[in-house]
Amino acid sequence: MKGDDSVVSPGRAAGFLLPALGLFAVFVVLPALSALVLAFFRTDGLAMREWVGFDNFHQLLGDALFWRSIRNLLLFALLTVPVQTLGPLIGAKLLYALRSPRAAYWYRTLLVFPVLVPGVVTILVWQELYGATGPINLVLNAAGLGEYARAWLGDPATVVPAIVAIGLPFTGGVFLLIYLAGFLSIPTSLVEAARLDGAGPLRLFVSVELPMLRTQIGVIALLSLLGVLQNFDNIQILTNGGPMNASLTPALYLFRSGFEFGQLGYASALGVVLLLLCALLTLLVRRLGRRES
Amino acid sequence: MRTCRRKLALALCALHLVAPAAESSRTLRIASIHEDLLPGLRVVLGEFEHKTGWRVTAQAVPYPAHEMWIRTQMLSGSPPDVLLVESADLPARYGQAGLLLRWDDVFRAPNHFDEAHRDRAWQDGFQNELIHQSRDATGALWCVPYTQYGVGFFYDRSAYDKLQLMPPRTWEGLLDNFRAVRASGRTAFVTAVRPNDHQTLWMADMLLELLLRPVAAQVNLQAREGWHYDALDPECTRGEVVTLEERLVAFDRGLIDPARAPAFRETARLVKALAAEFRPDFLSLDGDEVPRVFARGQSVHFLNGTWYLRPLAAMQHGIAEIAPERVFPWSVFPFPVLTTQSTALPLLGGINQNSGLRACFIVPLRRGDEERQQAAVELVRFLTAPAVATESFGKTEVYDLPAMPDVAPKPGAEPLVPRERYAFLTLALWRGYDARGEGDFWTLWQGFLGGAIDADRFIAQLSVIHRAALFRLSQSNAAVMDQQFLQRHLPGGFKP
Repeated sequence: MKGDDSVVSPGRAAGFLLPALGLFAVFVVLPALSALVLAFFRTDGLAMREWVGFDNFHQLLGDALFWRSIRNLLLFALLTVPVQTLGPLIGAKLLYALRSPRAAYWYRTLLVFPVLVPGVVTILVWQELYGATGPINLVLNAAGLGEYARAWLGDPATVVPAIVAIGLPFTGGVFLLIYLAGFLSIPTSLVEAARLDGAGPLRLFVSVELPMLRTQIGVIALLSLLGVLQNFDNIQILTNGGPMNASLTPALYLFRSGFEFGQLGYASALGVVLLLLCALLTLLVRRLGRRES
Repeated sequence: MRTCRRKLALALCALHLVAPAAESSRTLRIASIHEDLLPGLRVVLGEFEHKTGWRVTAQAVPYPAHEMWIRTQMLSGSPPDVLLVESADLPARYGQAGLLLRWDDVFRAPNHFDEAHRDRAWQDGFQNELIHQSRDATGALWCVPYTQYGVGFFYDRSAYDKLQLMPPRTWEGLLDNFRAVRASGRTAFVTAVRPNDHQTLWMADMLLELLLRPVAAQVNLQAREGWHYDALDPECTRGEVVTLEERLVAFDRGLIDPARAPAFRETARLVKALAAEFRPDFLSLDGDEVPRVFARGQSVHFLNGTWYLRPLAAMQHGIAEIAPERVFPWSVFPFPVLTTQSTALPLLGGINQNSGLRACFIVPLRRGDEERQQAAVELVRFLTAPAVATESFGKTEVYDLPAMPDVAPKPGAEPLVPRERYAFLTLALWRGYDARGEGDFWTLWQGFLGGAIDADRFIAQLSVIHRAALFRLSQSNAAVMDQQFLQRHLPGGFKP
C-alpha cells in the first residue's frame, strides 16, 4: 500500500497465485510436456518404452487413416464454422432489434437456456431423432418423401452433415451472448448518425454494426474452429468415427491410437501435430483479424 | 510447546501409516467389473480367510469406466491383487506388457482347494474351449476363466406364432424365417457393427472355426507326440496350444491367410447373406441400443448371450409398467447348423455354440512380494474350485454359465447351454490378432456388410490386416519365439 495503487503487494499477489499455478502446472503443463516427450518413443504407456526419434511423425505422414481424419476435419470445419459464426449473429441481431425489453428478456432466456442442458443429453436426443424409426424419417415418410429417409448416422455420405446439424438452428448459446454484448456496446450516436444519413436496417447492419462486431466475429470463428479441432465426445458417442471412418477426426484417432490400439507414443505424436495445427490456425485467424482492423 | 506439538504430529503420522499397513499386510484386494458376480464372491470370502488367514476385500468397478480404471491402477503400481475382468483382450494387453502373472505353469498343478479332484491338473477342471479362448494370439495364458456366455437367437414368440414359424435348426431355415418376417413388414434382425457389439463377429468366428477344422492338424505343428485331431471329440485338443510361430507358418502356407484359405471367403459369404435381413440402420446403431430395440418389439430377433436373460426381463418389466400391450413373450434358439446345402466346403462336426469366455481372473505381478502374489493365486484357485464356485454362483442372479463343467448352470439358462461340443482350437481370429488390426478390421467389416466394398476387396484387405498384425506380433515377440522351429518351417522369415 503506502501510496501504491495496487491492492496487494506483488509478493503477496504471487503467493495467492502460486497454488493455482501449481495445480495448473501439475495437471495441465506437465501432462502436455510428457506427451511431447512420449511422441519420440514407441510405448504402450504400460511398460515398453523405446526411443524412436521422429519415427512416429514419419509414420503419421504415411498413415492413410490420419489423412482421412484430416479430410474429415476439414469437412467438419467447412460446415461448422460458418453456421456457428453466423447463426448466433443472426439470433443476436434479432434480439437486439426487439423493441420490448420484456420480450427481449424472455427471448434471451429462451435462447440461452439450452446451454444448461448437458451436452450428452442433447447428443442422445439427436441420436433418437436420426434413428431409422426416428422422428426425422417418420416426418419424411409422412410427407411422401420416404425415398430420402435413411440411416443418417449410418451412411458415410450423410454422417458428417448430420453431426454438424446437431445444435440447429445455431442461434442460441454463449456465442449469442457474446454477439449481444457486442451489439450493446455499439455507440448509439453512431447508429443514430447512420440513420440520419438515410441508412436502412440492412445498410445499418452491413456498414455499421458488422464492422463494429469484427472482434466478436473473429473470436467466435476462432472458438468454433478450435472446437472442431478438438471435436471428440459427440462423435465418439454417436458414431465412434464410423461408419467406415467417415466421421473419424484426429482427436478421436488420437484417443483410439493411445487407448484402444496401445500406441501411446504414436498418439502423442498425433497430439503434438494437433497442437501445432491449433496454434497455427489461431495465429492465422488473429493475423487476419489484425489486418482487417 | 512447539516440540510437543511436533512430536504429537509425528506420532499421529506414524500411527496412521503403521496401522493400515499392519492390517493390510494380510488383506487381499479383489476388484470386479462384473458387479453382479460380487454378491456370490463375497459369500465365500470368509471361508478363504478361515482356510488361509488372508482377509479379502471385494470392490466393484463400474463397467463403463473399467478400462481406464485398470490402466490407472496398473500404472500406479498398486493394483488390486486379483481382478475379475471381461474376455481375454485386456489380459493379453497387460500380460504382453509384462504386468500380469502368466498361468501356463501354475495351471498344470492340481488345485488343492478342489477336494473332489486332488490328482487332477487345475486346468482340467475348466471347459477345454475356454482355455483356448483365454489364450492370446501368441498362445500365452494371462487369465483364468470364470464364466462363459452361451449365445443364441432371442426371438419374439408372438411374431413366430402369428407367422406360423418354427425355431430354425439350419442356416437355410434361419434365412427363410428372416425373409418371412421381412415379408410381413417387420424387421427380422437387429444388430450393430461396432467394436462394442460383437454379434456379427461371433457369427463369423463360429463359422470360421467350423470351416477351418480340416486344416487343424496342419496348423498345430507343435502338437504332442501322437496327437490326432478328431472334430467330434471336444477333449482331443485339451493341452494343445496354437502358438504364434505356428500361426506365422500357417499364414505363410496359406492355411489361415484370408486371401488363400477358402474358409474365410465362405464365412464372409454366409454372413453377408444374412446382412440382407439386418435392420437397415445397423451401421449407425450402437451395441447398447440393440437389446432395447428388441425389447421394444422393433425387431423379431437379435443374437446375444446368457447375460441378457436378466436385463431383457428387466427391460420388459419396465415397458410393462408404461405400456403393457407392448410386452411380448420371447424365447431363445441356438445358432443354426451348417449343412451341405449351406456350403460346398467340407464340414467336420457341427457349429460350436460360441460359448465364449466372459469373466476371467487376472493377477498383477508383484515383484518383491512373493507371499502376497502367492496368496492371490490361492484366492483364484479357491474361487474356481467347483464346490466353492457352486456356492458362489448359487448366490448370484447371473445366468452366464460357469467356466467349470462341474458347476451347474443357473436354472433358466438352459436354452443357451450348448448341447453339442466339438474339438476346438483357435486356429485363426476373424478380426485379426492385435488391437490395431482389430481397429482396421471394424472399418473393413462395416464397409463389407454395408455394401461399400465387395467380397474380393474385403478378403484382400482382411489378408493385409491379418498379415500386418502377425508381423507386429512377430517383431514384439521375437525374443521368446522358437527360432529353431521358425528356421525349419519358415526359412525366409515372415514378411510384412
